[in-house]
Amino acid sequence: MDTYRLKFHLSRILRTIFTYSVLIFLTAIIVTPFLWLLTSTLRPASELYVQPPRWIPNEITLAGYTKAFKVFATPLANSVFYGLTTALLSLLVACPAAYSLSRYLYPGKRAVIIILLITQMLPFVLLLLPLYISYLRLHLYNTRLGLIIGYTALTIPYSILLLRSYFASLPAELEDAAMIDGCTRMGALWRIVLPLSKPVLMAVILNDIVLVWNDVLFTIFLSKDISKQTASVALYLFYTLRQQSGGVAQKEIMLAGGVLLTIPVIFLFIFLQKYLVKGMTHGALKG
Amino acid sequence: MKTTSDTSLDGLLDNGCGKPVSRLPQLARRQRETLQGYLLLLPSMIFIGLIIGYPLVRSLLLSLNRFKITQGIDSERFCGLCNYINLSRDPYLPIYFRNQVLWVVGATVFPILLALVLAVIMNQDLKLRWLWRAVILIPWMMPVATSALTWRWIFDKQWGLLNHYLMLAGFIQENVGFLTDRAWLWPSIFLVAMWMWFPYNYIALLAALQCIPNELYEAAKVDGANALKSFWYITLPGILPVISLLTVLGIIWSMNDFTTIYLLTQGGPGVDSTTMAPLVYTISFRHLNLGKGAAAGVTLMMISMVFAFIYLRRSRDEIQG
Repeated sequence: MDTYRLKFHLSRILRTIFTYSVLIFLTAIIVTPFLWLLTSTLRPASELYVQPPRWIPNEITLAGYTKAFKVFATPLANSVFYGLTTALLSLLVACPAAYSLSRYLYPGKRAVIIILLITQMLPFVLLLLPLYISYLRLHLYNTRLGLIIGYTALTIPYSILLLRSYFASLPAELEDAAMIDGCTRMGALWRIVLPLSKPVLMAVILNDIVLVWNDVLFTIFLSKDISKQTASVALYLFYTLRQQSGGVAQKEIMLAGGVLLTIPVIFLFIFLQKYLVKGMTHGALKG
Repeated sequence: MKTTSDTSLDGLLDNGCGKPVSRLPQLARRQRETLQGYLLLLPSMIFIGLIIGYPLVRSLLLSLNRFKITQGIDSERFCGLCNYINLSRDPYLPIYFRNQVLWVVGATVFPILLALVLAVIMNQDLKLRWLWRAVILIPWMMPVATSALTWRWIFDKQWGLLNHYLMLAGFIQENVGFLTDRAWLWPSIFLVAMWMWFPYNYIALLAALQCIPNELYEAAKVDGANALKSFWYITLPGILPVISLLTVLGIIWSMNDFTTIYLLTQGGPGVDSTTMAPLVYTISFRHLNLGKGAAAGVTLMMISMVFAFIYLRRSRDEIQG
């Protein structure tokens, strides 16, 4: 009996050790790029080019950040501006559409939903060719307005899908009661449905902002000046153009720029994380 | 719910006892509802139609036209299938095709595998759970541009971290250009794709794992199943629907992905990592041949739509409005 128990305990301990070693090994690999990026930005440029690479620099400085901020201040502001306007516009357009798809009955509804799903699976690079030509013709190329219109259209389908499945899960009786009390349908949407939908609204906002923040494709096709571009593209162009022109790579600026680009996203995630996961499990992965 | 009662009421009236006049306000109300439904949908459809629908049709036409931007913005002329023929004669076509298959398979399979291992581990009682969770979600939070440049810095031939560690471990004798040497190119790309894309799969898989009732494992234990057996017979069947959904989504997303490859390698060295989406960009804006670029894009879209169709079939109940 005792040896049996001992064996049982031993196998459990071995299993725990195995589990933790796999976990530690994997998370170490996962976190390394992030930590290496951080420590690389906290040193003078000369200490980037040492062999063997040092995790802890001899001299700690934020010089890279001040330089990077000068380069990327405008693109970062652009990203914030585009992200917020896109999220608001997208909500403004997607809420009524999602409500219509979840509550009204009319022919063609199924087709609309299928179209929305298909837009999520199109190669956007294909759409950007004619869009580039149209933008040139309409003088929307390289303008803030043009980019915001593009981003809004890009985010609308997914916003509608997320909102629709959430609205559909709310009981219709609440709105019926409100309408009996003299609310119009739109009044019911505004007073009953939207206040109940805070989690999914947050998820949509977060999703839209992150999409714009990460976007490279739209900006690269539809704009050319750094004063109009998002921080993601500005960062990318900064390091490739320097490399191609054979100039000084200025790695410290580029790496610090990378961190500057990440910080707002991390804060967004920390504050809105629970909404995001909720929204996600409600959207694409249901069923 | 409303309408079922409405229709049954209509049915009652149709049975002859109702006067046609009494149906009129009913019908009018329903038509008004329909109209309002369409109206609410309209703004979003205008956006989608102008920015997604029109360009889609336009690029289908563009792929049938000869259009080189160097010859002026009005130089577009119909030429039938010339762009497709031109594309099929491209000597690099087999390489693009190989790259596309490698990329789609690697960027789909590896993130799911890593996510599965982590989800199974994280589904147990662990100490410091918040810490592991935070670390696992880091790649998700990092913007693509930052991730790409961080990896490029790690892969750096002269000063990179990876060269240093592989040398220490004795795997390599001299420094490697991970994104420039053919032998290392794809493994490096897969590593980055895995690192960037596993968190989404992880969240989905963990949610699926948590849905499997604990009693099943307890029953299996009573019946003498070991950990491996209960994984094979309980866990795997339980999450298989999610895995297959993630596979289809992974295929669709990686198929159309432009950003990851483009930021990481720009399709190089040469054309060795050029997949379809970056190819569309290269043909259109470096070779300035918009017609041929569109032909490549349409080809890509056709293949994507096969998988989109599979996805739509799978999530049919989600579509039932």
